[in-house]
This record gives sequence, structure tokens and C-alpha cells, in this order.
Amino acid sequence: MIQFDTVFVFVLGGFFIIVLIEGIRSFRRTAGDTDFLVAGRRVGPWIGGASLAATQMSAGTFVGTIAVHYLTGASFIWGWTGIWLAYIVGGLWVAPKMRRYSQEHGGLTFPDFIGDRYSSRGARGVAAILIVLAYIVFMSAQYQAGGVILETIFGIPFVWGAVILMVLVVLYTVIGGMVAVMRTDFLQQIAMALGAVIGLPLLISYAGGASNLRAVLTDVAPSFLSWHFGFRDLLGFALAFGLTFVVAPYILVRFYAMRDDKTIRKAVGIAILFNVIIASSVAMIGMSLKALYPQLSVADAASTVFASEVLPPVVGALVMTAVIAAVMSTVDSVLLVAGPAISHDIYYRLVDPEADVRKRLRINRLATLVVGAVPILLTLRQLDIVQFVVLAFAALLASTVFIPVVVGLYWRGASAAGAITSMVVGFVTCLIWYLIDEPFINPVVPGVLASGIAMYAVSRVTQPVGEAGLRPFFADTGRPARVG
Amino acid sequence: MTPFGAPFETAVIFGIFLLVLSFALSSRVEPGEKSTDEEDRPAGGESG
Repeated sequence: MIQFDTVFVFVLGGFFIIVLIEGIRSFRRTAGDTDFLVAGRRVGPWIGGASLAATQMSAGTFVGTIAVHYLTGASFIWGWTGIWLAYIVGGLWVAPKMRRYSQEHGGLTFPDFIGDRYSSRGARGVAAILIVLAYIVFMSAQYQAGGVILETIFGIPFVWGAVILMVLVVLYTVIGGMVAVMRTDFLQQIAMALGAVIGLPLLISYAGGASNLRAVLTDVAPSFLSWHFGFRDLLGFALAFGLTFVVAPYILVRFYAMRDDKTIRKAVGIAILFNVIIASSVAMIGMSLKALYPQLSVADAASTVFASEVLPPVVGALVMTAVIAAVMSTVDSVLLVAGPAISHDIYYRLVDPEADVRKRLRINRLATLVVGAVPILLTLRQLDIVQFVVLAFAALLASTVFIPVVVGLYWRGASAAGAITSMVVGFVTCLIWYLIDEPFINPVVPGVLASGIAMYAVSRVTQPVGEAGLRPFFADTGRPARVG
Repeated sequence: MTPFGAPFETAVIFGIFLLVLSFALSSRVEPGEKSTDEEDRPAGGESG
């Protein structure tokens, strides 16, 4: 009988080769930093939508979310609704303004937006540094998840699994930039959807069919089918994910890469389609596994058990490849935000503005390589469980950048000092809320509130951005800024 | 009715509603916006 790990080697190896070939093909299409960072701004709705969804789904989705459903049942799925609403809100009110700014005024990165909107080198620098710090922690969790999966299946030390993943993702991202990342995201999203959709019916059949499954679940874990999490918990999850997602730098740069506003709206619909399919599949997989294996000691191992013990080897290998794809598609996107924050925003914009195109591309690749490698050092320490790192990271990022982005797009009076203060206050408030064990509500709520209050209070008493600086972001450039 | 309970079913229904809403919104053409119904073109370079 064919062993699962043998099949998995071939399926995963084949997938790695396809992704690398796509990276090398993309190299020929990457002539300068506009191609490297925003794929020449020519991306269409299907690749754009799949890339949005693939980027948002990380190791947390296929390892952590399955584990939460395994432990708590159905209600956690309502956490996803924050993301679905964020797609619509972001697609209608944030992304079109960001894309127009990017195309008409040459913005390539998230700190480009902060620096230009607030006419401030300081705001650009603070945004770049906070993004790099936050994303390095996030990437270490992704490497950790990939490493643990490869360790569980092949028995290799988890650090080697993490290093193998890191080398592969950094390689195709450094070679092919955003063109490679968005095209491989598309392949990875297809792998995720296929893995979930093909695996699920087999799992339900293995569990004795739908009616038997309900009877077993009612018997094993009656609370599974009702509201394990209450309204306040679910609102906290939805806000943490949703507020982050509206303004997440690795999402916003995808909107920079799309060719027009209609493409953005179509891409949002396609991303929601992938999201609803995978969110519901992941919930059903987690609960079905509870019925089959009610006593798993490590909930994070549920997805590996599902793939290696329940499914036929080929389908199981496809599912585990989907999990690895989720890790890769998130890491490559983060690399293209965190690397350029150093090369483009700090080196080129603040240190050496005279650097020519070839030198900038070379520095971009070098910074992406460094930022991709450094998180491995944190991976050695094995931080918290993947899902909680992802949730904490989401709250921290939303607390830092939601107000400077959204208020900056809609309030002319938002000043540079207000933006810097709101980023720092939001970041620190969220962090403190974690350290005091999250009283009453998810840390994203006090984080964003404090960030908003800081933005308003400081902007009211400091110098507003001049009319010339505001022009790219406000159509009605003639009227004076309302700051008083 | 599925074997997975009301929280699951209501969330999926809500997701489908948002999906339909997003596709309805995507067919809207804003004032001054060009209609583009082309397929995905490869991004970047001359062949893009």
C-alpha cells in the first residue's frame, strides 16, 4: 500500500517546482521597481481576487482555525464575517482612493502612502519600522507552522522544515517580485480550495454521513452546534480581523497592482467567494474531526490527522500541500511589504534618493532576502500557538495603521504629528491590553479607539498638511483644510 | 438543515448574501469610470 508521506513528497515537490518555475518566468517580466513592487499595475480580477484571499489565509486558517472549530464547534465561523465585510468596505471606500493615488502619484509601498499623505519623512520612517517589526513576528509564526507540519509528517527537525520553506519562498519572491507573488498566490488559492472541497465530502462520508455526524456531535459535544462564543467574543474576533483587513499593508499593495476600480470590485467578489467556500469547509472539517477523534491531545494536529489518517493518500497530500500553500502565500506577501519598507522607504526615500533603477531593484531584492531570513531566528524560540499569534498580530496592526489610513483618506485636518502619535499610541495601547490579559474586550477595540483619540487631539493642535500635499488624496483641492 | 448547527448555517447564509451584494456592486460603473471587461492579462513587461 502506498504510504501517505511518500505521496506527499511527490505532490509537494511537484507544487514547489511549479511555483519556482512561475518565479523564474516572472523574472523576465520584472524590469524595474514598479514591476517588482506592484506588478506593473496590470493585474486583473481573477488573479487579484485569488491573491487577496490567498494572502489573507495563512497557517492560522488551515492549522489554527481547524483547531478552534475542533475545540469549540460552529460559532467561531462568525469571526470570518469581519473579513467579508472588510472586503466590501475596503473595496468601496479605501482601495479605489489608494489605487488612484498609487497610479497617479507613483506610490509603491504602504509607507509611501503615509509619507506622502502626511508630507512627513518622520511618519514614513515610523510606519516602515513598525511594519517591519510586526511582520517579522508574524512571519516567524508562519515558518513555525510550516516547520511543525513537515516535522509531524516526515520526522525531520522542525527547524529544518521551517528553513526549507523559508528558502523556497524567499527564492521565488526575490527573483520574481510582485508578478511572481500574485501569480503563485493564484495557484496556491486554487490548491487551498481544491484541498478543502475535495477532502470534505470524503471526511463526512468517513464519519458515516451527515445524519450520523449530527447524532455523534450531539452526543460527543452538545454545545458544538450552538453559540460556544458569545456576542462580545465574536464581535471582538470580527473587529480584530476586519479592521486589520481594511487597511493591512500587504492587502493595500495588491490594490496598487490592479488596473482600475472595476477590477478591484470584481476582485473583492472573487475573494469573498473563495473565503466563504474555505471558511465553511474549515469549520465543517474541524467539527467532523471532533466526532471522529474526540480526544486528540494536540488540537493543532487535527488538520494533519485529517490528511494523513482519514483521506486517501493522494487527496491527503493535496490537503497538506494546501496548508503549505497557505503559509507560502502569506509569507511571500509579507516579504514584499517588509523588505521594501527597508529598501524603498528607508534606504531610497530617506538615505539615497539618487539611486538609479537598477540599484533600487538590487537593494529591494537584498532587503527582501534579509527580512525573509531574520524571522527564522525567532522561529527557533517557538512563540505562542499559531492561531493566537495571528489574532494578536491582527489586533496590533489594526491598532497601529487603521486610523492613519482611513482618517487620512477622509479628514483633511489629519496632521503628520497626529499620524505619528496615533500609530505609536495605538500600538502601545494594544500591547498593554494584552499584557493585562485582555479585560472585557479584544485589544483591537481600545487600541483603535486610543489611536483615533490621539489622532484627533494632536491634529487639532498641530500644523495641518498643506494644500499641495493633500491634492493627491482629495478631489476638491480648492478649499482650505478644516482644522479648527 | 446541515449537521453543523445554527451558528454555522446563519454565517454561511450571511456570507452568500455578502457575495451576491459584492457581485452586484462590481457590475456598477462609477461616474467617469471606463468599463473594462477584459480577462486577466499577464502582469508586467512587454507581454503584459
